[in-house]
Amino acid sequence: MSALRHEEAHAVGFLQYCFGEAWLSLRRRWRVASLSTALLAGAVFVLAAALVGSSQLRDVTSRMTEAAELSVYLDQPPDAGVQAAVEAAVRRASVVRAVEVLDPQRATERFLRDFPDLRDVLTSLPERPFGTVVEARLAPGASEAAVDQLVATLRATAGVDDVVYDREVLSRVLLTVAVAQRLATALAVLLALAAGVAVAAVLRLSYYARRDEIEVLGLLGAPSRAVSGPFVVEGLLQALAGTIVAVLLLRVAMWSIWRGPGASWAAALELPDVPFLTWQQLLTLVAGTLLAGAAAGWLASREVAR
Amino acid sequence: MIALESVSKSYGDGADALRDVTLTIGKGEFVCLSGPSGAGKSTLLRLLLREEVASAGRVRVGDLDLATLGRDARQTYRRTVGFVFQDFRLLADRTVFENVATVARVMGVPRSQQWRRASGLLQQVGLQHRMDAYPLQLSGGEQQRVAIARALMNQPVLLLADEPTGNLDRALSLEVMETFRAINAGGTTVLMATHDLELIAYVNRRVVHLQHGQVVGDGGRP
Ligand SMILES: Nc1ncnc2c1ncn2[C@@H]1O[C@H](COP(=O)(O)OP(=O)(O)OP(=O)(O)O)[C@@H](O)[C@H]1O
Ligand SMILES: [Mg+2]
Repeated sequence: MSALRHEEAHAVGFLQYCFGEAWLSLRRRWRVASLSTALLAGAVFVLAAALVGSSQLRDVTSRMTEAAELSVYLDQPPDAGVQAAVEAAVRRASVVRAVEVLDPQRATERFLRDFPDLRDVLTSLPERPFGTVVEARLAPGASEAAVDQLVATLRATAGVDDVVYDREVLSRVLLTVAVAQRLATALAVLLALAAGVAVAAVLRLSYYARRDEIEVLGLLGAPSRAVSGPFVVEGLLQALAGTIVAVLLLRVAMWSIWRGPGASWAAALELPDVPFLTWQQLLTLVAGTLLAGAAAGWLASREVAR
Repeated sequence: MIALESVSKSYGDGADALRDVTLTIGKGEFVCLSGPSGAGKSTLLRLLLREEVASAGRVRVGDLDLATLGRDARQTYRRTVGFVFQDFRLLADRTVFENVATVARVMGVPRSQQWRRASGLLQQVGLQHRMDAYPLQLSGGEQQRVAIARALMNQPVLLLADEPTGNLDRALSLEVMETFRAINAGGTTVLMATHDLELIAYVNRRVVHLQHGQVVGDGGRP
């Protein structure tokens, strides 16, 4: 066999060939290619935003859990014995991190500070509505069952008027967060599906455009990698472009919210300062999308090879 | 080199394109395949490229039984064969140079190497000045010569040519025959389908005559 041995020896040349063909193909179909890249960028953007948001939300919710308060309203008139007993019981509980006792005067002040609109209502009342209040800050990660038990015990204690525990508020917040996360995930999945369909359409188009060529390549003895290689690279290039666009967009969006035109709004809304994606998150994101792009290209070429 | 043993080929719609063909071609031979239109010449060549598989019988090239080749082995085998298609099968959106260098290109052979070999071959077929043209900018005869150059690019062990001079005038045909003779002298086995009796006489080698899918003559001059 005197045939030139082209095999194996030309890995670099082969890569050049794949990139050249993929680039040519994308350029020839730049309109659909841009559309699918834009969709891909949209999906990656939502995904990255969800990633940034969820690590931030995890922070916020843990801080909120930490700040959760348990308020014990004592009967009027104040009774030093009752107060001491309740205070001791609260301090003993393992789920409590700090205790603060507000006398009726300070309890009223704080109420007025929190709800200034209700001043008239309060002053029109025949008697002072607040007795002494024992406030407890719960330890982070306090178990619900333990807190419930404490609440029940306190409610049963003589001289206790009411126990207010704002877990309902907290759980509503947590629920909202969970729903938001789920929505973002659903949106990202939807966009990813749309992007997948679009990328597949581009690859299919480039297949139909190259069908005759692929048939001839086959007859001339081109190995299957010579057919699938350019498709894989085409998927890879689209994924790369989409990811770069998405990450840049996210960077710009975050900048404009916290530093740029949106800064005053962010301050007014007391939005916490959110850090950008970590390197690990960024790398995972890029690796994931590139892998998906390459897989799409490979699958498209497999379909072709049938 | 080539051995067909009781090979038949039907395309599914009944009539057999080849019927019980038994034929042996030795290494280094130059064989003309003649016969009227529809006799089965192209079919026989397609079987040897493994573009088609025999309906019955066995096709062997070297120590390969073509029917048993897997996909990778088939592609590797095809790269050792040069094939001039009756309808050229050039890539319309590639230049003449890219067409000639197709296989080297997809295998990643360095461009300088592709260039050296392709330009030499294009010179042999008189098209070195058309290297950057596209196939549709060429005449039928020029396209055919590009197809011939492409078939020779891989320095094939076996050259299969289907009416390679069908669109060429006498002078060019004879030049192509000289090219084939030269590559045959280098050890390549050549099998050329043609119904050009003058050309067959000019080549003056073994002739296999097909009719209605059967070998009806096999000998020196037609
Ligand atoms: N793809 C195909 N499908 C169905 N029938 C085919 C196909 N290819 C060839 N045939 C039939 O097989 C027979 C032999 O055809 P083939 O192309 O081998 O003839 P040929 O000798 O090359 O003729 P020509 O000199 O016209 O090129 C013909 O009757 C033809 O109609
Ligand atoms: Mg024919």
